[in-house]
Amino acid sequence: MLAVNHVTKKYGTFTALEDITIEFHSGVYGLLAPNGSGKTTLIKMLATLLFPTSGEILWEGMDIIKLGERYREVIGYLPQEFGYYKHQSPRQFLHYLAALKGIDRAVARRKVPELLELVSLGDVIDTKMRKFSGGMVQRVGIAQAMLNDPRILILDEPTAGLDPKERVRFRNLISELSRDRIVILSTHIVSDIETIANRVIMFKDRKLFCNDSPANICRTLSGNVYETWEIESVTVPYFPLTQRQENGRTLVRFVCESGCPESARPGEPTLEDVFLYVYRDQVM
Amino acid sequence: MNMIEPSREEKERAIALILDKGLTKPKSIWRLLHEMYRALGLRHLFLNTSLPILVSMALMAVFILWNPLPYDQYKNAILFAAAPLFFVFAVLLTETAERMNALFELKMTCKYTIQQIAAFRVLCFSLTGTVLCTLAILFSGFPDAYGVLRALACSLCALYLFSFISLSFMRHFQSKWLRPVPVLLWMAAGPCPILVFGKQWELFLSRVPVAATVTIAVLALALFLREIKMLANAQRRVVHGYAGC
Repeated sequence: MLAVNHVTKKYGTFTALEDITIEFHSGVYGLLAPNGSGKTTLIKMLATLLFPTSGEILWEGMDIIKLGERYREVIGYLPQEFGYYKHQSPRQFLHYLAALKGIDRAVARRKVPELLELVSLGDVIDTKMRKFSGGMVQRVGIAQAMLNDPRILILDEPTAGLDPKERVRFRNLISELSRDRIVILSTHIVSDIETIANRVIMFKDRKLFCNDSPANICRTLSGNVYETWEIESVTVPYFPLTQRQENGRTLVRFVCESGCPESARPGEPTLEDVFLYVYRDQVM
Repeated sequence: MNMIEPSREEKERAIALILDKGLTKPKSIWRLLHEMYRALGLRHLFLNTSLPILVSMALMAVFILWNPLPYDQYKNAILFAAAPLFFVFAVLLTETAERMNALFELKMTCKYTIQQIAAFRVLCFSLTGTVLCTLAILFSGFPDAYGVLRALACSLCALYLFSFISLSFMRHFQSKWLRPVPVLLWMAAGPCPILVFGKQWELFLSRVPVAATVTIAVLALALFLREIKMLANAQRRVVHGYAGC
């Protein structure tokens, strides 16, 4: 188990995260919050790239900083800005990172082609990466994060720059990889996690806002989400969520806590609705 | 009072936990460097460093060969100034290249971190610097073996002393703006005395007792190795001045 205990992170006088307590067990955890809300700070602390100002992060009861390389051996990390050597092929690049991770050469020789097949890069295993698209590079990134068969997989904004097809492929891959390991996935794109995350973690005002299953989080707006064709009726005190076109007309989704317009029909709340409502000050 | 005796499995688990927590012997610097060499090999340890190394070597060669001062009259002073040149620039350029690389973060989460690799490289750069100094002295045409020994002791004294001071400085002062300071230090301690004191500086270096320079060189080497050990074992937050921190 990975436990974040009362962690606070400050940069000078600025507090990025305050008194965060979370326990991670096997499964997919989605860190969902707008940009600049502390997701990457937490991710970097979990990857030992930053240190908490106060509090502790424990892996199986031991402080991850004290564990040092023993902790780094169990994590796989994909940073937000994933760098690579353009003159190398995925095979060369993964062999280099396998060496840095202390993986035996014989094991690496077997594992590298397997992982590249898994991320559907088997046919370009020896092609220089300078010719790769953003999606292909990101898949190399996922393969490298899996090299040491990590018990904790930390992915920071892994779908940034991916097209819709690649995003779907990525989600399926994460679902496959999440068996018997902790997958921590940070994103501000709701659709990335609503289908694959077992739990969604949200931060607000630098503090932990919720840590629950997507269904339970959606339930917090149950009975409060409505839809109407009459766009002009959605004014204060209602909170507009999204608009979509249906049969040439605009259907508005909104949150209504009391006294809803008669023309409105109730809707099933989604994670996106909750996200927009929770972060209404930041998003809209 | 009856007590439930722990099972054999529970006992073994408890012993393993105690051993794990209490009796883990920290790796020695030599063991760590050897382990890294075996795991990574020179190809991976020096990946993408060939250009900075070549530039540093070229700078040292240019400084010795194209120096405007008459070489025969300023041999000791030029060799003294040139001795740390390769080391300073190789460390600065490889460190800068590593820091600017987008892989930097990822590498810091691996078993062997950039700072440990930097420790290995720094040690290799000092060895290479030693070889380059020796070669430069051997080709300088000193009339006797004593002259060679004097110049070698003097050059190695400059190299190790400077290596120690620059690493120590970088460890204690972590601002990124202070990274070029070792180069400024080299300018202050190497070429500046030649320009300021001229012939007197050369005279001083050619008369300083060999025993004194050898002693200083040995002490500086010991301190430099201690700095490398601290670099390889330091917590990352402590060593912002080094590559990978």
